[in-house]
Amino acid sequence: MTDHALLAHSGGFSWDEALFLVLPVIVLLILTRQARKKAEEAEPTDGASETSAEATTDDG
Amino acid sequence: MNLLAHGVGGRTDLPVPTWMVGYGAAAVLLISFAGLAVFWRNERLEKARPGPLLAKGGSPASRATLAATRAFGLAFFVLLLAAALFGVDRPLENLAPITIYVTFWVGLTIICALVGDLYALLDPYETLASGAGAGATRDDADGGATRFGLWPAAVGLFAFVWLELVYDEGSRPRVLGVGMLLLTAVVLVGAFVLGQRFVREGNPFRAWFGLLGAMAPIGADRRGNVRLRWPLTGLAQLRPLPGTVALVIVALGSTAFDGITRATWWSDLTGDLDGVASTAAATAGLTAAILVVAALYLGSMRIADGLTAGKAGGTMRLADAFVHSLVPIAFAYAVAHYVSLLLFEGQAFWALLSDPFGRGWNVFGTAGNRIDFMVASPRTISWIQVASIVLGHVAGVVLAHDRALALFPGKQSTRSQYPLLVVMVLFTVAGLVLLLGG
Repeated sequence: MTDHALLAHSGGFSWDEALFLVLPVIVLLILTRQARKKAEEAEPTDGASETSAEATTDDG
Repeated sequence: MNLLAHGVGGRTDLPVPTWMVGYGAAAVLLISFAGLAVFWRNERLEKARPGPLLAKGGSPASRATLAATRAFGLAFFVLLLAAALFGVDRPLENLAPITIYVTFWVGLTIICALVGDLYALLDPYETLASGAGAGATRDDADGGATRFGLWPAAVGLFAFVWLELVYDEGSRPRVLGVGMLLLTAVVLVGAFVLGQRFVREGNPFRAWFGLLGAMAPIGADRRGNVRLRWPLTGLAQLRPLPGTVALVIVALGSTAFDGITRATWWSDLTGDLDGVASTAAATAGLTAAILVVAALYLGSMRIADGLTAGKAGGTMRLADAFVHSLVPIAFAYAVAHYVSLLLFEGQAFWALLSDPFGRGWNVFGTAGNRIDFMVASPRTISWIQVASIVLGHVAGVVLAHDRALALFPGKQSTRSQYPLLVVMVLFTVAGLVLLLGG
């Protein structure tokens, strides 16, 4: 391990490790938002069955 | 512990820490799941059309090829059985142990999943049963299963992995010879009593390789026509038989147990035991690993059933519906755990082929071959392990997503997958930590 890397590991995360941690979360957030939007757009076609299914759940 | 059941590759072989591999793999899975929800809006695998025809079923050329491969399969089976029963009773000097545990179990697993169900072309039991005149039953004619489905195969697979991973003498040629005779007796008697179909459903290898072969890009349809297809489509179109869930869970749980035995805490726990106590502890460990996998899978299906208001017809129906998504995961674990065994110890197969009985022969001039340990570095193997586990789980997520779209409308299809996704993330991280962390 180089001096630079040793230094980076001595006190918490290095910038590349922080990026590695954060980047997937950002991608996931964007995709989740998109997925929700797509599901809402598709809602009119399957909205009826969805409502009845949820009603059954709520009723136990 | 069986001396053939080990491998190389571990935490120190990767240039990144284990937590990074685990976090990255979990992120890949979650991002794949979210990406599928955005871009994969219709069931594509379930409704995939048959691909280009490679060979017409029943044609003279197909029949001749099948006859040749079956004859080879039977001849090789007889050679292995003879080597196991009459060759020297030392694992590393006899052809049977390396062939069964490495070339056959690991090599065929990879070929079946990545190319096609090669075992079906070789199956010596099918040849033996046909030759002995095992009768066709009504089940054979109408395409149904025997009344036991794949349950006997699940029990048989448990017995095999017990020999491989638990029993101290499991790699002794004589033990394997007796095992081969037992399996032959069970499959042939089953074929006579329950019909020829039992050869395909009762033999654990035929059943398991058949499931793996359904992942592959080459497959045969009901009429025996061999076709190209998109990978995973065969699996998505498979109708599970009774016992399929058990078979897949045994396969998955056994590799999990193999990972556990590499962990230091397991060595600390069982290192001082010997003889019967050691076998009993390992048997308990193997059983527990399988039961934990079963509990996680069935538990996730029970929650999914609740989230979808029982629309799929109950927990067991859902378990049947989604079990195919575990097959690429089990395959991935098999690759991750045993690829080094195939790459290194597998080379001994060519040397032993020249001297199958360990009598000092050199039939093909390869008896003096030495294992080349430079064929792959420990780092390469570690990357293969990580890649296979991550890709196997992504394939599982894709299959589960496609099935959920076929079963449930709108948002329910996404919701139904949450419990299984959590289990898959858990499997991925646990699998990697067990594999690399020991």
